[in-house]
Amino acid sequence: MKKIIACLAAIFWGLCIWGQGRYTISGYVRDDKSGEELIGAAIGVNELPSIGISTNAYGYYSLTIPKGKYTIMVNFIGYEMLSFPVDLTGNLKQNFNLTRKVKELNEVVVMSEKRNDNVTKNQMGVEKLNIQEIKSLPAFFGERDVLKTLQLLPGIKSAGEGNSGFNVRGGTTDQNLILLDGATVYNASHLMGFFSVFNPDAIKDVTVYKGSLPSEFGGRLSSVLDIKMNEGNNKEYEVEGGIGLISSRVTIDGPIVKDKGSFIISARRTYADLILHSLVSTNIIRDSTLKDSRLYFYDLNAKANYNLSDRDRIFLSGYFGKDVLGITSFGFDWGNSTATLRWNHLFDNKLFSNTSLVFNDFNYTINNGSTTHPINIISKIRDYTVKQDYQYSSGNNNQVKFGFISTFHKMVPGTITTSDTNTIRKSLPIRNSVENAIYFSHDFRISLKLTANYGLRISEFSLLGTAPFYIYDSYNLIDSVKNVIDSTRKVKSFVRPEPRASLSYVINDRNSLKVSYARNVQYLHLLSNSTTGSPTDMWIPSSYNTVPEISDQVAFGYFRNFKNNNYELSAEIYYKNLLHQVDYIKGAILNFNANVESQLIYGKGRAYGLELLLKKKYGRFNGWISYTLSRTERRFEDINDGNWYPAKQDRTHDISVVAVYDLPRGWTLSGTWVYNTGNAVTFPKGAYIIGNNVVFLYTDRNGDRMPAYHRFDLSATKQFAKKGHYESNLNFSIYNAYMHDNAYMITFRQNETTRQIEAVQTTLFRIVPSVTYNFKF
Amino acid sequence: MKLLSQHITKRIDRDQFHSVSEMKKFKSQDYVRNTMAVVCICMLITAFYGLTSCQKVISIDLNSASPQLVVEANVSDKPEPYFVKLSNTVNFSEITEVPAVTGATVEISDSSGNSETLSETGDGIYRSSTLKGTPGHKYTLTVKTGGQTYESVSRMPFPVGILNLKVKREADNGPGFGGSGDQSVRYVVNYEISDPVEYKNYYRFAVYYKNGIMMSRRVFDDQFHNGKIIADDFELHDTVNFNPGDTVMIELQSIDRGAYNFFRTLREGGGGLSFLSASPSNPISNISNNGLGYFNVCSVTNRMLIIPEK
Repeated sequence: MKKIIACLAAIFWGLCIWGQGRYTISGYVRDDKSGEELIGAAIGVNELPSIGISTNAYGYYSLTIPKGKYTIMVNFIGYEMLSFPVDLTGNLKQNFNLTRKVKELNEVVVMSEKRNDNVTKNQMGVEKLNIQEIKSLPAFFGERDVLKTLQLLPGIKSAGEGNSGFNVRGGTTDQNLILLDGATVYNASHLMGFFSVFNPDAIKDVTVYKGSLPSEFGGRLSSVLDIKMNEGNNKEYEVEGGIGLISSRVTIDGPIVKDKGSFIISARRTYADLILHSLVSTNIIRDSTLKDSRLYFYDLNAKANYNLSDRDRIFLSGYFGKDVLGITSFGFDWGNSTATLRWNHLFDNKLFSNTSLVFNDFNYTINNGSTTHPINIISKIRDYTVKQDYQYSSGNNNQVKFGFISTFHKMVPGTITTSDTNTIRKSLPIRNSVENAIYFSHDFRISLKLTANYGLRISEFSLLGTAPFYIYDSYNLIDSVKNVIDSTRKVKSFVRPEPRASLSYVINDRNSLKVSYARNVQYLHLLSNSTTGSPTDMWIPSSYNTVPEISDQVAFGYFRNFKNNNYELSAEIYYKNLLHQVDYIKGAILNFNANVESQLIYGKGRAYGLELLLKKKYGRFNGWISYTLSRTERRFEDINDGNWYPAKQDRTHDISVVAVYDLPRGWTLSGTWVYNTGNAVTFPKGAYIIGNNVVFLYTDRNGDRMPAYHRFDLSATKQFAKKGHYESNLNFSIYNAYMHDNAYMITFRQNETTRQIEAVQTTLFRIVPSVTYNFKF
Repeated sequence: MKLLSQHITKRIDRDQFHSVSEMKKFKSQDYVRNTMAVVCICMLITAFYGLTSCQKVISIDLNSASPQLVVEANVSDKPEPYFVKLSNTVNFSEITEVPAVTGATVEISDSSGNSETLSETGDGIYRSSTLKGTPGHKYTLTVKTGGQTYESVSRMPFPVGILNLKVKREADNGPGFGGSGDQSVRYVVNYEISDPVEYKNYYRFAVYYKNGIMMSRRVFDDQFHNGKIIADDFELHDTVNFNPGDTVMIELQSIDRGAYNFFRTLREGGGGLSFLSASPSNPISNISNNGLGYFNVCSVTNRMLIIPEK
């Protein structure tokens, strides 16, 4: 610890010395209409072409350059470029307001220098999604979805039809850290995963890191999905919304005090149940069991911010969502809630501080729908987090980030409550743990063409009481720890350093090469007994049995822009080595098992692949083609004789094609086509008889494949002419337009008459048309 | 879709390795996990578009596996003939005629030098005549067939007494999850046994009905109850309908670890719905040379019980 502080101090001192005789220009970049801060806006200096930085997650920038006269250029996608002359004779505070481009039908795109950010920036394995991009793509049931759109990018694969879970570079779905304004979202799904919890109207920015994670992030092996909520318009009030077949949403935002603070509230609810009830009651559907069905979700996003002074700004944001499902004798509700209080402070124009207090909760309740004999099973995960980040900018492209994070996790895997005294009450033990990390990273330019970043994160995880804790050797209990009574005492601790580094070499303004390495550690593990993922999947902390998972990833990338930066091509290859992966013993029982760790086995994994992305960003016709060739394998002593075998999420080929075409008279057409190799699965190879029962014969784990998955979605949007402040559009979407029967699952059964074994394929969606009306005023 | 949920529920009902209380949970969890997604979405789609045909039988070309020997061998401390049944695995297309393995040499020997070659009675069944099982002795099963030798070694555990055993009749529309309501009664066996502290013990309850048909069974161990009284319950359920006044024989088998692992991982009739399990696999066999099945050497305690009227 002392060494690290000394190290940090040395870096600072170095930076300060370097800073002598130079001045700093700093401030915020904002949208001139709404006052929203713009994240990732590029700042360049015309006279110093080697300098290029971008605004941080709060829209703040800081640039230190020698005294002199310059033209500062500020650029952000979708906005007019701003040139601003300065005569730098001292430190300068300068905010920039950018104007959103008016979309004209015969738009002539003005070329800006910073359109080649993808080539020149020292980052790889990062995908950013523009919310406007999401809004123009086909939507399932008319609900635009951040997570679904991400799955169209290379290296990010859908975990299954209608599943908001995703696999990044061969990682499992629990190896993604999903953050909403800094709060962990443990289950990002609505309606068992057919929709995600992120309402696009409330979202400002989506960034996914699939390669080398910045040192400020940790706790998961594969990726970080960092989602920032909108801040709201601080100049005038706005209402935005949409009305669809099964859901509607509305967003209101506006100033709290003009130019000082703003708020946004966004709400969404599905009403399929109401329609269903009316169909049942009018006898259109003759199934009386559906009469009492409950089936909906709702969510609410709210955020407020206020400028206390030039140097201080506070934010308060929250999310609350809930799903309610139920039929006559069965109910299942689940939901997430998060709250984030954040304070941005500028110590001086070089040191930016961000302090956050975060709370998040995920819980589910299963009930039997009985009023006379109610039984409830309640499970929850709750985190309390304190996070402190500092960002120090100095000199020519020199930036240091450092800080700490501390999280208390409380996991209640399952508590049964009942009024019926005859039923055995069995509750699973509550597990508390603490996860801490300190980090720093340094971004700097070695030469005109070479940029480097290195960083270190040191994380620590402690499992807290109370006893007993059992120690197993694949299924068999070998020892136990029983003397820990105090629930605040540490019983088992792990400390793991996580070094990360990247290097980028700009060959010229159209070509660059990048390389990165990162070690990530994960202390929480998700146990899932199904292939599709469900809210009832269980999180467990690292313990005496399950040690922290570790991944080492190296990636190499080539980036090239063509035709005046109109086309972007990126090619990345990666290799990942995974340690202490978790799988299950044969015939494992995970559900409501107090001794669930006895069902686990541990092994290794590896993943490697090639990702290609060709993107046309500008013009009336735009879109991308993404292709991933990959392999993901695991090795466990007790599975397939200890040989490498394909992981469930192993997919050889994965292709996405996305096209958007702006037509005259306000029409936009878009289409997406996806194709991927089926998941690796285990099918029975034959059968035998034990007693009088048929037992299926299995040979290799994951030795079979689901059929290849492919689907074409289509959407048409008509933008109506603006009337005063009122804007509106009508969107028609068709999901699975050519009606391909994709296999959701394949099961085997014995035909009751012929006694033959047959394979049965279940298809979820043949074709799903939908229509949504969106408005804004 | 309804079919699917019935199918799953049936599958869960057939799972005989859970006590009634666990069963309820199991039901609920899997019900949630697997059916709700499908059911609710199909409800939606049916409601809006009526375009769905959720399920269809498809043909999958499964690489056929070469036949493997399946052994079902039982030895107990009861003075009666012991049986070994031999069969082969088959491809799916041959499931209606599973071939018996005939002409094999089946020998069981014990640690005190007794040995017997079992005589074949037809249909792949081999029968002992002189062998007598004794707790504490080690037994070796040797099967020679098709030029291969298969072996299994098992020590007979000591018998464990039953403290308390009764059958209770319960209304099935009680506070369970997803109760279908079409089965109005069920029978639950409550048991109490005193686990000896000296050994690691593994247990199996077997229930025999009229004609000696074995129906329900349940396996458990003393991992978390060593030396304590183990009290739990399990449900009697099968396709056979019980009648009040019928006699059932309940047998507590004290089994060894190999047999326990087999029965624990055997999901009768089950494995097919592979999506229910994260790790579909064969039951763990205690037969060498890649043989499937089990060699169960157990000591037993029997009780006769009468199905109650109320």
